[in-house]
Amino acid sequence: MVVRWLAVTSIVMTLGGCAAPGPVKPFAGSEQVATISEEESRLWVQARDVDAMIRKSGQIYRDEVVQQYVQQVMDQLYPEFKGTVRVRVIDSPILNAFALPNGSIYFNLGLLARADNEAQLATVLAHEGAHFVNKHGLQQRRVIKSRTAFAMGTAIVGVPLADLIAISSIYGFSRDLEREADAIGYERLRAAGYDVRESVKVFEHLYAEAKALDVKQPVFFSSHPKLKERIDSFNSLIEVSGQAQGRIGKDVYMQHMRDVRLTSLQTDLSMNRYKSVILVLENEMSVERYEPYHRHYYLGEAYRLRDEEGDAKRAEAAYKKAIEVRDDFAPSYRALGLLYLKKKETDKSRPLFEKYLQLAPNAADRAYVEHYLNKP
Amino acid sequence: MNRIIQLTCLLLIAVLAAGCAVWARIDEPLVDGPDKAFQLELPVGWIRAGLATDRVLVTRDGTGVQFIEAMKRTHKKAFSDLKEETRADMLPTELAELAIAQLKSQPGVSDLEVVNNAPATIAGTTGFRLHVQMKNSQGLAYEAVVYGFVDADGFYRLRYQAPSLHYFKRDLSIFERAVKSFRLTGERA
Repeated sequence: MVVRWLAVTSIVMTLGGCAAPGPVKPFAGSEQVATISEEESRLWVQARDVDAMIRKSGQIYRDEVVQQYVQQVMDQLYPEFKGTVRVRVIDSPILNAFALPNGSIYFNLGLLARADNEAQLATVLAHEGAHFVNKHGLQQRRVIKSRTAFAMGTAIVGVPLADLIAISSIYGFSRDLEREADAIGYERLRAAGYDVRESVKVFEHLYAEAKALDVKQPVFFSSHPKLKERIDSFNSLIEVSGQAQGRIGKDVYMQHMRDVRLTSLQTDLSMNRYKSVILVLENEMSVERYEPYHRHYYLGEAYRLRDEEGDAKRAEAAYKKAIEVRDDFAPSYRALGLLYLKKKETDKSRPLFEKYLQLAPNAADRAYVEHYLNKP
Repeated sequence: MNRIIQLTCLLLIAVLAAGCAVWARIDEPLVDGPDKAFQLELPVGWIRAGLATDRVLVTRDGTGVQFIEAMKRTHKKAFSDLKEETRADMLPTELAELAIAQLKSQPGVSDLEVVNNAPATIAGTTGFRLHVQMKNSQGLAYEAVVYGFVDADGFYRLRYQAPSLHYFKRDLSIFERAVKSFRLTGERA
């Protein structure tokens, strides 16, 4: 695992330092996809293998409405590639999105949950779409092929060259290609009528979170240096083009993201990413993003599970607030009941468990709660 | 040259022989856990993995097909793969949460669904019984039943896992019998 991690890191670093390869003609529209070269065909076959691998892994988010919404935003940005560029949301808390050479774009749920509006979602999609349209996968492949020493190096540490398709997509392309994707993406944002000022905001949020959590994953949208580059790059683009106002799409985004944000919190909690949940929910922006009772309840859960000094008290306060703002949300009663039960305060836990079962008679954990109620 | 080949062959045979010895047929149903911390009854004729010295690991057709596992971990190492510890005062619900997270974190596991999660008594102590369905990296559906509990000494886990098709139901009752026979035999028992 460590060897593979080192290998990936070295690949990312090596690719990051590579100069942009020779000119490659971008796709002008979907019809050109049928006439790709043999070299590109091979790349597409490998990309389809990555598609199949992701599909098999069962990670595709199962909410067709959300999938269609994200696709629809992409289609507005790249209308001439409708049907060719396919976006799929992945149920992963890692803040990332990536494009494969065949037009498959993957957007992680965690990143979707962090954006505030459609313009911010469109910023990331426009950037990823540019990687496909400008054939950055092909350009990267040519760089790799031309560097024999690099190829030998990767062979030694056990990363097959075919895997590089996924690796370079997930961890980012060279600095020049990323800047090119910024510029093309920016133009697409403007053309689709989005407020370009939101482009900087999304990267600023991600940068702040990556810094606060000291994220070590070198994936593109979680890496401090790469996010800093995006902020600088989009700021320069705004400076040159002027701050044209446009569509933000806040309400429609909020509406589609309600379940996404909750699923993302639950995934974070199930993967012990308590720090991340606390950071997200204690942020003032969470007031808008979550229903108050959800915000307090999940904050309580994060403190309870983190279980550091003082966390039990923080969790108790959060659960109480959740009940205060909404007295018919059953999980808050259960959670507070468990907290008191652990402190052996059964006189307090009992009425809470009873209320929980009254509100949720078919709860999946009914057997546990009944067991706790029957405890002497 | 011939001598080198002979020596290499002998070495290979020795290695293979040593490899065979690590799997042993269960002839006596009563099996002791590592450090004699616990004891349980397992089916005669199944094969025990001798290399798994920190737990009891048995299978009928190979661990890739089905296995029953029984182990004890110190609180500190109970969920080291999740960087989580257990404590003697943990509730069965909390232990089950950790067990689910551990199953989800296994490489290649996807589509994990909890079929049933309820309190259970193991060796006279209240713990949890968890039944889950999941898929492996090849898309094969399989199921697992996990029992767990804590005492002052540490965390105990019994697990049975097999593909959903044909195997899971076939050997589930054998596992449940093993769980019923499980008892602590250490100093604290």
